[in-house]
Amino acid sequence: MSGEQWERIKEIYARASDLPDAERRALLERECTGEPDLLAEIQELLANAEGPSLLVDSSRILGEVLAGDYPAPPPPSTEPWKAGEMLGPYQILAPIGKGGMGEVYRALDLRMDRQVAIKRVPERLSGRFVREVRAIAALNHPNICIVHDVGPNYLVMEYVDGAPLRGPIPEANAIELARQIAAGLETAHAKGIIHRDLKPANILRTTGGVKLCDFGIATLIRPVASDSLEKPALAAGVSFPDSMPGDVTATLITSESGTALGETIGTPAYMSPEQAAGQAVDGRSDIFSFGSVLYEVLTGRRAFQADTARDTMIAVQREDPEPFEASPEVVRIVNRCLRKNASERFQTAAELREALEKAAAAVSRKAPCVAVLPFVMAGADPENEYFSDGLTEDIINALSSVAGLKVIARTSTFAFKHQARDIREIADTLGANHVMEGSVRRAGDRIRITTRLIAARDGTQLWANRYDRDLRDIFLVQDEISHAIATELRVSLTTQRLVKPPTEHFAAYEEILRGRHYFYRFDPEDQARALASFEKAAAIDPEYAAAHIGIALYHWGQMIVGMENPRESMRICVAKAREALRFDPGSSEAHHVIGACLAINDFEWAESEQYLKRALQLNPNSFDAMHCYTHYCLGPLARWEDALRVQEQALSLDPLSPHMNCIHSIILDGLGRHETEVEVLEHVNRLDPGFVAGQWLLVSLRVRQQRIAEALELAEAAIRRGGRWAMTLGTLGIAHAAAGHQDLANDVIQELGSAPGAESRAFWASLIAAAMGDSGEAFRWAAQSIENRDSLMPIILRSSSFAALRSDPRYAGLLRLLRMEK
Amino acid sequence: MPAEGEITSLLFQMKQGDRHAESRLAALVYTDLRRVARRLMSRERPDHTLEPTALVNEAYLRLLAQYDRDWNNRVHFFSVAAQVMRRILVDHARSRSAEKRRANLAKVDLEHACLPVNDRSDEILALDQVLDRLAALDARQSRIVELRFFAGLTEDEIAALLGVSPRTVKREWSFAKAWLKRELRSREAQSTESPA
Repeated sequence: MSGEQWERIKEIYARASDLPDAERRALLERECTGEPDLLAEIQELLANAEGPSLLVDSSRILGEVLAGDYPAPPPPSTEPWKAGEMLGPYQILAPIGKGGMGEVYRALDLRMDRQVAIKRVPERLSGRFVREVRAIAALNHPNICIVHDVGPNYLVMEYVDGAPLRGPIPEANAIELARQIAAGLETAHAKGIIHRDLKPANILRTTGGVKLCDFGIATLIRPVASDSLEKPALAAGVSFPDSMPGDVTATLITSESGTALGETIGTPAYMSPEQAAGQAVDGRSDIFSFGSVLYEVLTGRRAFQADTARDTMIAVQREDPEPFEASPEVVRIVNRCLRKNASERFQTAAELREALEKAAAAVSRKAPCVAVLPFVMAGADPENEYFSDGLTEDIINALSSVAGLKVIARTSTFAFKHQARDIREIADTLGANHVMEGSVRRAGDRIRITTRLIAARDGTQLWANRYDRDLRDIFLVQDEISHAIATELRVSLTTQRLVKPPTEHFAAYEEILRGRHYFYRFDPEDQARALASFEKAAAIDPEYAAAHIGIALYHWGQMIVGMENPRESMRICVAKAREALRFDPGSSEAHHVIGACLAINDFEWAESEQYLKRALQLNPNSFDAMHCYTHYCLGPLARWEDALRVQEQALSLDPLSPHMNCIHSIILDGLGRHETEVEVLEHVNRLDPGFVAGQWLLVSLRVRQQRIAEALELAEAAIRRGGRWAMTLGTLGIAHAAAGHQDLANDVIQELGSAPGAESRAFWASLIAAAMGDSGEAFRWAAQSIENRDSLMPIILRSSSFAALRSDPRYAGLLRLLRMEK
Repeated sequence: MPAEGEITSLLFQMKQGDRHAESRLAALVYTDLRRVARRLMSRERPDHTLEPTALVNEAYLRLLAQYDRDWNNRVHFFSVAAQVMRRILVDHARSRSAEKRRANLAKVDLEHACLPVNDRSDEILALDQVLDRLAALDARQSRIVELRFFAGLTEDEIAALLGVSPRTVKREWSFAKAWLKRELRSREAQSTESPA
């Protein structure tokens, strides 16, 4: 409509409205000749001039809205409280500060004779507020500031002697503080309480950790937010005050009271996008705020900060914070918290806390962590490599017992054998910050060891030495080297011997080195040679603990691949481990072997756990003890959270081991974290495409994902690569069963009876039957496999492979067989 | 309570075209209006109807009158106050209608489900939108509506504020009312015709 036309309508309307009907008609006919639209418009307007108007009720609504829903009692006095003044049982001591919601005082609770903090709010608290504060008061967590009491216009809280969190804080410390914050959020969220105003000012740092304050309180004083700040122009230029810096606005927003009126709760710089948009929030909003806090704690600057509160809120909704420097794990966590879309963030504080714990482990890896690369055997023929390899392993073991030092496991460092790779690259792959390398030369009874320690950061040499000794002094040299490294890395200044001569017979030691060398090669002939060497060592020196351990590990290995009857294997394992303990009571290996057998063979879960924990005490870097703990004890008991923690530690020491990663994937499956499980299994496949257990687990996963063709392809490739034995056949059988090839699957079960590894037939047959959906056969074989003491059964019984059978009463029967009934 | 003279200086900045000053002023007025409303409500009978005029006038007296005698400032102040009132009502209506939607979607707890019987949030929201359209057609008329409806000023007060004759205000107000009502009705008709 043109302005001219509008004015004309107005003019005619004004003239017509004062006229009686007849005259009005005449006027309109005259003015609107030939313009039927104009006539209709004016007539319509005139028709609307009379009658009830919406406008009548406006003042009533306004009054209600402005005064809030509750009849407000007179506001309490706003005079500051004075020291000595009594407030119920509380004696005011001194003002401590002024928060967004009012003044804070330090006071004394005379009844309990303890100091408290009293936060005074600028208005009388409603009944609803008091009820909700009771819910908050029920929160009991070391990282949450306790609410003791609530008065007519004040809150009584735990007195926390601390200062608001302020960045930058070194990463390792920051992660620990962040973990505590997440733990506090986890507890509150579990009770349905959302903080809604998480920010550094609300997080007090004390000597004992952090305390989250003002949990959910902002909301109670200001319930519900409604309008979006996206459309500030809507209310004719009236919007949130632009000119104030972010925090001042928050004070304004949270300092007055009443019902909701398009007010946005929180502090702009730490709000979540949904909060800034005035939408409903849940725990994931706190997770966003947490991300902003962690960003600030790490960098010392705010993630979102603009000149005005409104621009800050817009930044929160639309912009990404500037990139910052931190460990990749930590950057990932912060970025995930700060996703604009709540469904892309961590969904729970528990998940966040777990990620932080994992990151903490990763970061702590950066502080003294050494990777000992296989020493090079110089000059001699490759046949003698067993000697340098064995020596390297002994140094790894010696360093492993040094508290505070992380030592990468043998399997992972030996992956770099004979590889001309850059030291820094190797260290990065292994997550180590120091690398040790060396060479060994033997001539008659003499030995020369040259070794050096390199800082991975810049490749500089920190320490180097050459040892020319008599062969008999081999253990002394190991001890000297280990001490030198520990001292160089400032983790230990102990004068205790790190390497005690385990035998006085050099020949026995040499057999042990040889035996281990063969043991780590997996083909059957090498295994037989390994056993021969261990037995020879035991014959030379019957008191040599390592010889007995070697024999035990040989039988354990045979059992795992289905070559020996498990009951018989474990009987020998336990006997040999106990023998070893006679001569070396501090043998971590003997403890973990016994612990594993107590679980798998005897179903003595509690006792098993004691042994495995002891093994870890004796060698905090023993990845073997760790994986036995997860694989044979925690996993079977479905204690997945505990298992994950231990397994992640094991992985940090042995990141390149496909075996460790496979167990990790089983644990992730148990936790229902299937996305990560997929990643891990795909990673295993890249690490070692020939690792059969990895193939099996990947096939099971593809079956669950209904990617049957892929599963079949993988299973057939595993057969082509690894030949027809229990694990490859079992894998093939599962794929056939899932594909509906019932005959082929049954053929596999048949073949398993005579193929290598036949001892584990029942285990594989139960998995195949389960994949076929034949629950009767699945249970029958599973019970058989438990009867046989198959080492894989207890943990796999808890995995997704048996998910469909879990509600069957026969499943509970299996748990009873395993002595797991409640 | 804002510092002495702050309002005057904000009004001054506002007249220089400073939008930030306007926002800040709005925030101060808003805070003050609520304070006054609460006090009035607690003093009066529960069925008392608050007159927006009384509120705005009191806010004016408290915030501005004692420091400022500039007539022009008074005009600006009341415009801002009217806009604030509009904002308050609209925001309130919006939260109410969101609550209603939620209540319809799921049985929420009783405390939140109890909506006032005289709830007219949808009408207020509709009015707000129609008023925006009016502003595009005729700025003065929409201003008069704001002052009349949201700040509760009389025609004479508005005339004095805008520096026009009371007759003009009366005429504009009458037209605006008819126009708004017609618009609201046709909206309503449209929404009943097409429920989507």
